[in-house]
Amino acid sequence: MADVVEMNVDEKAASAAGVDPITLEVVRAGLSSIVHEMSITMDRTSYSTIIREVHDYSCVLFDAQGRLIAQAEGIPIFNGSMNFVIDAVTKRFPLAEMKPGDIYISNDPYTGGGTHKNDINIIMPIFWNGELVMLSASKAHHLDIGGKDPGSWSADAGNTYQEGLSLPPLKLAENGVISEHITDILFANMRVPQLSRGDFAAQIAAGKTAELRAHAFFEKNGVDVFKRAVDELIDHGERITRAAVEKIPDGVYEASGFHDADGASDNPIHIQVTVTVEGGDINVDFTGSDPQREGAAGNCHWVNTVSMTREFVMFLTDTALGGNEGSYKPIHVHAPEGSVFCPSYPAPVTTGMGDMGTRLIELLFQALSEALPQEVIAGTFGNFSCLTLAGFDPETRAEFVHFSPYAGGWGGRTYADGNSAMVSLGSGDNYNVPCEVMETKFQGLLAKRYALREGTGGAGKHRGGFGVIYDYEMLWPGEFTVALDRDKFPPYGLFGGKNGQPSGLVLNPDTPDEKRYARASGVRVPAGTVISHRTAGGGGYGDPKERDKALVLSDVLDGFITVADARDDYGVAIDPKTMTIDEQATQRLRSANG
Amino acid sequence: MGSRLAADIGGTFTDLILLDDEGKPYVQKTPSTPDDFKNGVLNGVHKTLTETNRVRNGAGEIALSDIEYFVHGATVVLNALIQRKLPKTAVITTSGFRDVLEIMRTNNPYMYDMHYIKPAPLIPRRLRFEVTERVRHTGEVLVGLDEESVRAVAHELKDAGVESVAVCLIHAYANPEHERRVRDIILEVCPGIVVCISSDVAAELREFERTSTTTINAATVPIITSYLDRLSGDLREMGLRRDLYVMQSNGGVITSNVAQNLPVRTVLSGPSGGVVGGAYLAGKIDLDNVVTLDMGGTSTDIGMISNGRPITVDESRVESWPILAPMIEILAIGAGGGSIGWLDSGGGLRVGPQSAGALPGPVCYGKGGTEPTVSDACLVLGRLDPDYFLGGEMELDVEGAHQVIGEKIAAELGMGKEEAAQGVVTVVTANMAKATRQILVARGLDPRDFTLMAFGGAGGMVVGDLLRASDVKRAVVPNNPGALCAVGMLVTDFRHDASATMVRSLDQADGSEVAAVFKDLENEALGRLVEEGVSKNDVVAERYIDVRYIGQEHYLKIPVRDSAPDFKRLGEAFNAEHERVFGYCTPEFPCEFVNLRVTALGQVQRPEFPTYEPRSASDGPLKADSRRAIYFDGKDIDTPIYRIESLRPGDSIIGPTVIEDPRSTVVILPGQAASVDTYRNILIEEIDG
Repeated sequence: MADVVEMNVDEKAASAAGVDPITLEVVRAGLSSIVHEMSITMDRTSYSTIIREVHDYSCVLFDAQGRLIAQAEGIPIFNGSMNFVIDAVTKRFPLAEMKPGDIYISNDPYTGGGTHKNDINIIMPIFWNGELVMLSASKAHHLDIGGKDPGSWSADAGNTYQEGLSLPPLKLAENGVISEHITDILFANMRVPQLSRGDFAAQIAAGKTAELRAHAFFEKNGVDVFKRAVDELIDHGERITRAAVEKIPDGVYEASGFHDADGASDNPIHIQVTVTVEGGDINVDFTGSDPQREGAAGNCHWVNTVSMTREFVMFLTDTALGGNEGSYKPIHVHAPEGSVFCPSYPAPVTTGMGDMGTRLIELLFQALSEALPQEVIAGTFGNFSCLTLAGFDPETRAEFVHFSPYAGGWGGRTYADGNSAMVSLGSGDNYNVPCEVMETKFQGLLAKRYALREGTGGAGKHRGGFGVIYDYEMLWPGEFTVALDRDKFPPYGLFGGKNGQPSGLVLNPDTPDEKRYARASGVRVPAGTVISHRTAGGGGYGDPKERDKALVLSDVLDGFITVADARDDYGVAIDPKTMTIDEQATQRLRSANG
Repeated sequence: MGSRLAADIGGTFTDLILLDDEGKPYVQKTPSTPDDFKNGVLNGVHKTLTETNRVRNGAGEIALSDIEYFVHGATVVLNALIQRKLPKTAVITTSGFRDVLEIMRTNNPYMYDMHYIKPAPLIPRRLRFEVTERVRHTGEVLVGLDEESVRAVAHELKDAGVESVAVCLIHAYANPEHERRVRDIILEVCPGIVVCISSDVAAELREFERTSTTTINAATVPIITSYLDRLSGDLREMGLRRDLYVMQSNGGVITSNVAQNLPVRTVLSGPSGGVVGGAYLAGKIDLDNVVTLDMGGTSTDIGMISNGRPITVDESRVESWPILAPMIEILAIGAGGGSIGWLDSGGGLRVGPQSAGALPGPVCYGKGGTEPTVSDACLVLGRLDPDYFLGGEMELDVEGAHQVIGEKIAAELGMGKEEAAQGVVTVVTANMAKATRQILVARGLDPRDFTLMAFGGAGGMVVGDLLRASDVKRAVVPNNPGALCAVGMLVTDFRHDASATMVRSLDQADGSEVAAVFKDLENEALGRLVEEGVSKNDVVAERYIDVRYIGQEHYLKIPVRDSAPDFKRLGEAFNAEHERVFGYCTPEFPCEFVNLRVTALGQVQRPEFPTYEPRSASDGPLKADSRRAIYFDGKDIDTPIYRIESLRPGDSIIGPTVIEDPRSTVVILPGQAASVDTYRNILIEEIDG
């Protein structure tokens, strides 16, 4: 595996005659319209909560050389990974041999350029006058892809086989006819294939939408304008990234830290990064991080390491446009083969994708915090402290698998408090599953509490956002699988801000049967069990004693912090009778502890 | 019916239209008064009556007491919401769910923007209370309502001086009993307080959306009530004998009494008037499918008319806050005459969404603007006449526009000023064309079946470019485009929507159960019409059922004729609609329905647009009023300019050309042709197809 990401750029094409900035915008609007319409089709035709409510998918376009040229609003971690998919597919099925009506599929991180196995990629070439001009691709999370536990998201998976069915690049359809052999194998390996069948059809419908729209675009604007504009589009993306990187002073920046554990053992994982900025290029080197781990929660597959690093840089750029192949050119990533950021086959990687991936982004923030104090944010709650619930009704034989992106607190920033109850940095426009929808769909589940976790945001001039507490009662017997994030190493504060409160999972809280879990798979529980899932609060930013007194009082009035917290953490004295600020006592507190 | 009056209150101007008893329209415009919109309306009413009587010149004086019907938009609600000037409002939820309003949907709408700041909750946590109870999605009561917990909360509300309360219990759409009881107890303890319950305001699944809708309603009841009381009091003193009517976001009108209970239904009434007016005009000129673009200074509102009817949605939002109520679907994008052209860090030319707005406005307005805008670009291209802007009331700074386009765009891109200005127009219209496509295709509609209707102050300047950039077949610019929103208020039917969530699989559905629910909904919706004084002969009810495949999330709204429908045929209709909208269907999959909906319509008499005579011998041949050089396709072209009053029905002009009236400038590109119809609307088509 290449340590440095090399794009498959055709230098000759890149030097071809370009287009003016105006034509460029016209083509950009046209392409962005196509990917947006793919998303509309996905939304409207999907079956599962994970697609329809959560929007756990991304749609992109490639040019005829397999270069990323447009991406829809969606999930950053997906978008930054899509070129690995196209590279894997075209390695097995060369672009020159593709024919109209072909559809390709993959999900395997090792052979198919996948992120994790639940994320199924569908690639469809688009022809115009008999010539391959574009390819569409969608990546969508399917609820279950087999493997050892429901949801295929086992923190303690010991190898990739336990994480579900592997799909190397395969030709799913020829002449538009889908191979039932492939789909039969696929659905036979899923625990809840009914919903996935519909989502699978939605992905193909999205690809067909892209083809129709691309044809209409070529008919109106001509294919030549498109071809000429593509190089300029990619160059423009590169210039945007370089302009952002150039704002970081040249130099070498380092950070190191720990991630909680890998699921197989409880030992923390040491992670380390060295960032070298030279002009418009940024080199990110994870040398020094631990060797790959036995459990899935400790491994971030190379595809995700690169994708997350790209997304980190994208956060620093002009954010409205989305990225393309050029956006990623100035970003150079290195991780030693066999390390937690580039694990070797057959290491398990599903849980680590988001957990280690989000930690990776934060490690980069930590490294650059002194150089970019205006840009960075304090520690977040992590990925989503993944919890999968499965249940089975012995009477009706109905079953369900429920998974949703849990939300937590984001870190404070130089200009604002951290957001409370947000999906992770890498999850972007992912939505929650409303409790009412969850109970309607999964009748073996009852939401007892769905609330902000008081006191979890780290104190700071701008405090961290609050985590969320989800109390679910299992009305049917079932099992759960969990991989907590930030349970041992809480979200860090920056510039004097305090850490956020760590996450936790408590079974039957406040009863004699109370039990705590951090990373566990396939834990069987009887009906009546209450699972209390608690995500972490974000880290604070800046000295809490500098926080606006009125905001401290407001948090007390809202019950987010106590009068004691106000005094001890923020140096603000509040009279509990009148609930007003005692100015003199506050002045004493704030000057004394300076 | 006697004379009728409508007022469309915008942020800057209030447009009024008066129809006399023969349906003849009289149009007026006055400045809005955002500090208290009431004053602007009163000024407008006064001015409209005075001017109308002056123009009518003795043909029967019209007094306010002659007005049989007065309708206007409740901009006051939207304004209060955006500025968060809301009365002290509380939320009551099921125990365990106090933070639903603050957790929202947990997404980051701007995926790469970590600087995203989640909006502060509409209601702070200290005013969100819990009561002990629990209902399941089936309506089954899991935990009975603890009335003591309600009383405790009620006393807290009283102590806190809360004016209004939203009650939003989990799954209340499936069983409203607990919410009703909570309301009664609160009213017992706190008489005079406003209480809105979610099962009344928006009886639909999804706790955040329902809570948001109910909260907005509760928070704006006191605002609209006070506003309408004061306004109707003053109007009564001025002689008005009739009740005030209020435009709804769904394109219908309701009495002020109803509006005071359901202000959430009036929030987006402003832009909906334009779409309804557009639909009415479209009907007059035999256009079935129209996409309307109301392009103002900062933004463009895009709406759709399909088969003669405005397209509505059942969910919309104000800023980040969802509203579950039928509304005319409007897509607002940041593209207007004041949209700023800028170069991004990669050297790409971008336009908007930042805007110079009305103040300072474009550089050419000479009010201190410093950034190059779309209007500046149009002036540089020669599209605007600097001496005839607003009929000559406002002089434009040509020098300033040239300088800013030259320095901030042309020099940076290494191109000529005109080329750069053309670039600004091309980029902004590319964005508009993209948005136009998106809103249509999201509904499964083919842009090629549609006509573009451009209005608003800036619409005409770029309508030709937009026609060329988009996939629609032709464009129309209405005569007197400014009044279209107000016209919309006078042509709209009285309308009420009622809905109920009821989830049943189609093969197990019970026709009589459905019929009973439909009957309740019809009684509710039709009853409201009759309350409003609509004759029983003029009302119709339409029934709809939301259907989906079992397991699918999204549903489609299927019209049904019978209150006890044939479920097999309902399934077939659903599959056909699924095929039409999404391009495929799976008839072998089982279906279920989710919601029953009733729309009740009460019809009103429509206004007549003035018509004009074709060109006669005495008019002489069609001839340009003036000529000037305008930059098209890379060169200056000596272009004929026509005043709208010089044109007659049947005239047609080959582009390039410009048609001016005091309020708008319509630019037709080389390769396009314009023709004038009986109403003096301008139709634009590409000559080669």
